[in-house]
Parts: sequence; structure tokens; C-alpha cells
Amino acid sequence: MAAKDAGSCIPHRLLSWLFRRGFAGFLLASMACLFLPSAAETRDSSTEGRKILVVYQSDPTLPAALELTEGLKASLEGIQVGFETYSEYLDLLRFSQPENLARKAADMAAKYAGISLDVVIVVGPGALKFMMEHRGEIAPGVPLVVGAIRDQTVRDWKPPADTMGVVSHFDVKGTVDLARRLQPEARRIVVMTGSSEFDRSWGAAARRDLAGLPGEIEVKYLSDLTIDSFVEEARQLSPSDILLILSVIQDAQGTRFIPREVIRQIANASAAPSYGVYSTLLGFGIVGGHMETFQSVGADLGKLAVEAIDGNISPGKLIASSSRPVVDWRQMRRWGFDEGRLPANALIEHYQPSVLEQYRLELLAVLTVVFLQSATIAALVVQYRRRRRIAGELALERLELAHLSRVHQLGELSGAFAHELNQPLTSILANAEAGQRLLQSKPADVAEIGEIFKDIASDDRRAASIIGQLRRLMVKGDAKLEPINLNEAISATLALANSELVARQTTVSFDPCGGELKVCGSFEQLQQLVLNLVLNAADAMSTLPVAERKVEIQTRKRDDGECEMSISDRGPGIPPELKTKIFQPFVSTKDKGLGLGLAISRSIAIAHGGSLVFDDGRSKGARAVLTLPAP
Amino acid sequence: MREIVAIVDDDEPVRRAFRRLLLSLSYQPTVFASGEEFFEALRHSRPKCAVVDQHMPGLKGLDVLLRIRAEGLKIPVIIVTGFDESGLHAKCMAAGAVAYLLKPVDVSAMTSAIEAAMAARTTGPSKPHITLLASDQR
Repeated sequence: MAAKDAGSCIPHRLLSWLFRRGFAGFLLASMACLFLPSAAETRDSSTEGRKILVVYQSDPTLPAALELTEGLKASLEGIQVGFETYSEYLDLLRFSQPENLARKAADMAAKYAGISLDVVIVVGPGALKFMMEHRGEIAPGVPLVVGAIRDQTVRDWKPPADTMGVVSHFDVKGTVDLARRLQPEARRIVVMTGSSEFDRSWGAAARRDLAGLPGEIEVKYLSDLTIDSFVEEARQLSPSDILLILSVIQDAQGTRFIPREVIRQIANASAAPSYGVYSTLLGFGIVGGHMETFQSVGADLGKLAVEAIDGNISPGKLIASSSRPVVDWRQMRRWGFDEGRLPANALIEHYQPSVLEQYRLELLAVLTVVFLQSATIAALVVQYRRRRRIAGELALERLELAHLSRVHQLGELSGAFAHELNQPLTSILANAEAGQRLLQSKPADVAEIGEIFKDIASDDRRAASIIGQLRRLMVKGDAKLEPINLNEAISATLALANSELVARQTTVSFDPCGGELKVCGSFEQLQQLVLNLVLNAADAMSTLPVAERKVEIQTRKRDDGECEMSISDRGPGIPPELKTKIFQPFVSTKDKGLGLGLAISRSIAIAHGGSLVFDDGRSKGARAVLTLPAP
Repeated sequence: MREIVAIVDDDEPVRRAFRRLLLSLSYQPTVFASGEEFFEALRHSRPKCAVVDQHMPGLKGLDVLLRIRAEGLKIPVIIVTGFDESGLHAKCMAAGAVAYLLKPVDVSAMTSAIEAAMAARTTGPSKPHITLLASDQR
């Protein structure tokens, strides 16, 4: 539980309100009870200290009395000289008979006969009445300071002239104002009062205070009922009604009750929110009311007592106790009231902080961790996407570069390709012209003409194949990796490069492993790689005698399942200083080379999950070894 | 009697097609897959002229021409090529080729070149050479 100010929404004043539960307000306001003396409390044993007698009308265990005493003590601590207090509890609820009171007065007179009291603090109207009757015996001439009493009571009873007091104003109108703020739609106010004289006085006070309400507000007064009738009436109310329970000490059958227990019964059964004027009723089913705190009453009593001790007696001085709107947070929740409707100075009791307020630090820590984790995850996702994008861009650029390199290489080989394509075209043309002539001869050699057609068809297919191969290499595809036969890719490449190799007077021998050599790859990219390596090998041997210009290509399936292709030449080999960087871009052993061929070839190998190296094992020439994983 | 015309080309379908064409033109073609094979055959027979592909493994067309000239053989040579390499035409003509033909070769270009070769054979190598480039063949 906790209390907080409505304006700030921050729990505070918890300690001062936590234990203030009881119906001492009623008892203090009541006038029909008797009290018994109780233990005196000594604050200062100094003989020079001031002596203060506190007379309570209640018994010492009531929360209201305890709260008031707490406030009183705190206030008296401001006295510079020492002080000593004596406490008497009349317990008027149980011992209000005249003989008891007379006995108590005599007892107190004897008890304080030798003590020079400086001031008597009187708590409650019953206690005031008692002291008005017996002051001459107990503390003659000692000024009285009275508290926990209504202003009107003081004025009606006319206590001794040297009496000062803190008067309580149990604010019916303020309580109704609070109720109407919380229930602006309410059009009916039901006021409940019991059957005792005190209860009736509350009914009269309510009629007086509520006379000025707007006309559209109906006020209904319920009194002189039995407790069961009160409960039933409350049960029949509309949720939009306001139920004001002022005082029910006694019902129509003359049965006396502990007020807060009765009020709890009525409030819990009520179909409408209920309100009261005593703070001691908070926690017993009422939403709240405009109330004073007994602690503040105690503090004000202490201040007046100090004034009296100091001789600053202002006869008849009455100060009003401070009061404010107070609500029970649990009842606010029960009725679904908006906290925002409360006045800024309202105090919220029994406040149960939300999970957010209760575990603010923990939640903050958890949220911070979650935020940091989320931020980390987000950063990682962003980084991952960025990497993917960069990787995609790089792959695209590599593809672009590979394509450009391929096109560039094909451009350089255009003469060879033109020759390669012109061969079937030459054959077709010569065959066609020979055929035409044969047709004119008599008799026509039909068998030969048939052979001619077969050759024409064959050469046509050959030309188409070359065009297809060229197109495949020229087109910029997305380099899909798919199962292909590496041997076939090598053979197709050699067929395409045949004219160029012939022009370079370079012999290529291809020794494929038996059957197909399946790899997962891009046919055209692997062709590009083979073409690069074969032409590099031919270049490396360009200065050798024609008979020595031999390129050997071998493929094999290794024991570990990987596929290997080696391309060997008989040239001068890789210079030692270039061995480590021969695959870097723009590194070339050729005068006119761009130095991109091997770099791209290795990129292709890596993109296929393989490797491309020059092994060192050869005494003459170079040998490039491509290794590709098994599909 | 038909005149023997040698055909030297490493491409078998081309050899076969040229052979048919020359047969239809009433020549007696003899075909060789390489320059080396051609020179080997010269020991036994001499063609009236030779149609030699430039682009071959081993001896290229120009090599064959130069060797014929070097050996003092009076065999007119017609160079055919599938790719007009820069400077090749001039080299061939300077070396004494009767004609420089670009593949694919049509029948009229082939006929003219062979006739020019026959004429060159009778008149000697000092006769003007025939040059038939791709643009001339259309």
C-alpha cells in the first residue's frame, strides 16, 4: 500500500497515512462516552521542563489517538526547554456513566495535586465537557487547548475564556464536491445518517451544507433505518448516484455499532460509490471525502500548547484544522474513476503502484537490455544486408568483369572465329555450286547430289554450332551453376579456339578421363577459364619452334572425389617474382596483356568452390591446375 | 584431258566440297590435308595449279607458296583464306600468288583464278597476278 498526491502521481506521505485506520473520529466527535486514565508519557525528566497533561476521550489503542499523539509529539519537540507530558484516556465509549466520570475526576485531582501543570490539552468534545466540569478539581486555572472537536460544538458549549482550540471542519460540501468531480453525471445524492443524537446532528449539518446545491441535483436523506434497511437501500441505488454516509453509530432499533464496520457493510453492498467525511473510514469501502488528518490536528494542538506555555494566550482563539480531498485508490479502481479528475491537492491512499512504477528500475534495466539487444540485432541485420548487398554488387561486378573480359577476348579472336565460321560456309557454297552443275549433267549423278546435300546439312549444323557457342560466350548471363560435363566444356572450347591455335601453330592434346566428368558449374565461365589458360599457354610458347609448341590438357577424378583439370605448356614457366601475384589483377608476363585473364580465371574457380594454382613441380613450362568440388 | 588442280586444306569438308566443284568444272582435283602432304605428292605428280588454304597447321598457305618459289617449281598458287589478316594479301601477292581469294569462294571467282593460274603457268610468273578480294567476289 502507498499514498500519493493526485497532482504529482508520485507515492509519498506513505508513512504518515499507512496506519491511520480507526473510527476515532467518531469517538472524538462523539459526546456521550466516558474515558479512563492511561499511562503518562515522559518526554523530559528535567525539573525545569514544562508539564503538559493530555486528556483523550478515547482509549489509547485507537489509531486516531495514536496518529494525533504522533503529530503532537513532533510539534512539542520544538519547545526549547524540556517538557513532560501526562496522558489520560477517558474511554468514554465504555465508561460514560456519571459515577465513573466523577471517580475519574477525583482520581485525577489527587494524582495531579502536587504537579504544577502548564497546559491541559483536551482531545475530543467528550474530554472537553469533562474538563469543563472538573477543571477546578484537576487543574485549576490551567489553560485548556482543545482539539478534534467541531467549531460549532466549541461555540455552543462556551468553554472557559482561556481556552484555545483546533476545530475540525468535517466538510460535507467539500466531500460532495469531490464526489461530483469524480461522477460529473450524477444527479442524485443519497445521505445516510443513523439514529443517535450525534447521527441526527450530522443529518442537520448535511441539510444545511447542501442547501446550496444546483436545482438539478436531488438530495435524498435516509435515516432512522435498521442496518439491514440501510444495506438494502444502498443495494438498490443506481451506479450514477452518490452515496454519502455521514454517521451511523446507532440504528432505528437502538443497536449501537462500531461505525466503520457498519459503513464497510453498507459501502460494499452499495451499487453506487460511497463517500464519507472521516479519514478513519478510508479502507472500509468509501471512495473518499474532504478530510483532515489526525496527525495534523495533533501538530496544531502542539503549536497552541507551546503558545500557552509561553504565555501567549489568546482567549477563545480557534484555528481550523487543515483538510484536503483524500481518496482510496482501490475504490477509484473499483468504480473506474479517472485519476485525472481529482483536484491537484488530493491525496491518494492505498495506492498500489503499477508494475511500471513498482519495478521501474528493473524494467528500465530490462528495457535497456532489450533495447541494446534489439539495437545490436538491428545493426547486425543492417550489416548483414549491407554485406549481402556488397557481395551481390561484387558478384555482379565480377560477372560484369568476367563478361567484359570474355567479350574482349572473343574480340581478339574474331579473326579465328571468322575463319572457323567461313570454313563450313565455304564448304556449303562449293557444294551447292557443284550440285547445281551436277543437276545440269545428263544423266544427273543422284547419289553424288545426295552426298552433297548431306555435306551441306552437316556444314550448316557446324556453322550453327559455332554461332551458338559464340553467342553463349558473348551473352551476359547470371552464371547459373548447374551440373555439366567438364570434358565437354573443354572440347567445345578447343573446337572454338582451333583456328586461333592453328594460326599460332600450337598443337593442343586433350586427354580426358574416361566418360563424363561431372561438375557443378557455369559452362560458359569454365569455357572462358579454359580458353584463358590455353591461350596463355600458347602465348608462353610463341617464341619456341613450331614443333615444340604443345599444350597438354588432362582431366581426372581424384581419389577424394574432386575433379581436376591440368593445362601444361613447354614455355619458360612463371617467373619466381610473379609466382605469388600472378593471379592478381593487372599482373601479366605479356607485353600487351591487361593482366586480367588469370585474375578472372581464379575468380571463376573460387566462385565454383574450387581453386586454380600453378604447381611448381615442372622443370620446364608451367602447369595450371583447376580443382573443382564434386557435384 | 582434264587439268590437275591440287587442293590443299586441312578442313576435310572443305576439301571434299572443292573437289566436287572442280570436278564439275571439268578439272582433275587432287586433295591434300596439309602442305607437307602436298610437297610429298609433288614427287610423283605435278598439278597445273594449286589452291592452297592459308590457315593450316604446319605449313601455311604462304609457306607453301614461298617453298614452291624457293624450289623453283612452276606451279601457280591460289591462296584462299577464311580471314583476311592484315598484310597477308600483300605478302602473298609479293610472293607470287596468282590469286588471293577469301572464303567462301564462289564458282566464278574460283574459275577465274584457276584460268588465270593456267595462263600464268604458260606465260610464266611475270604475268600480272589476279587478286580477288571479298568485295570483288560479289
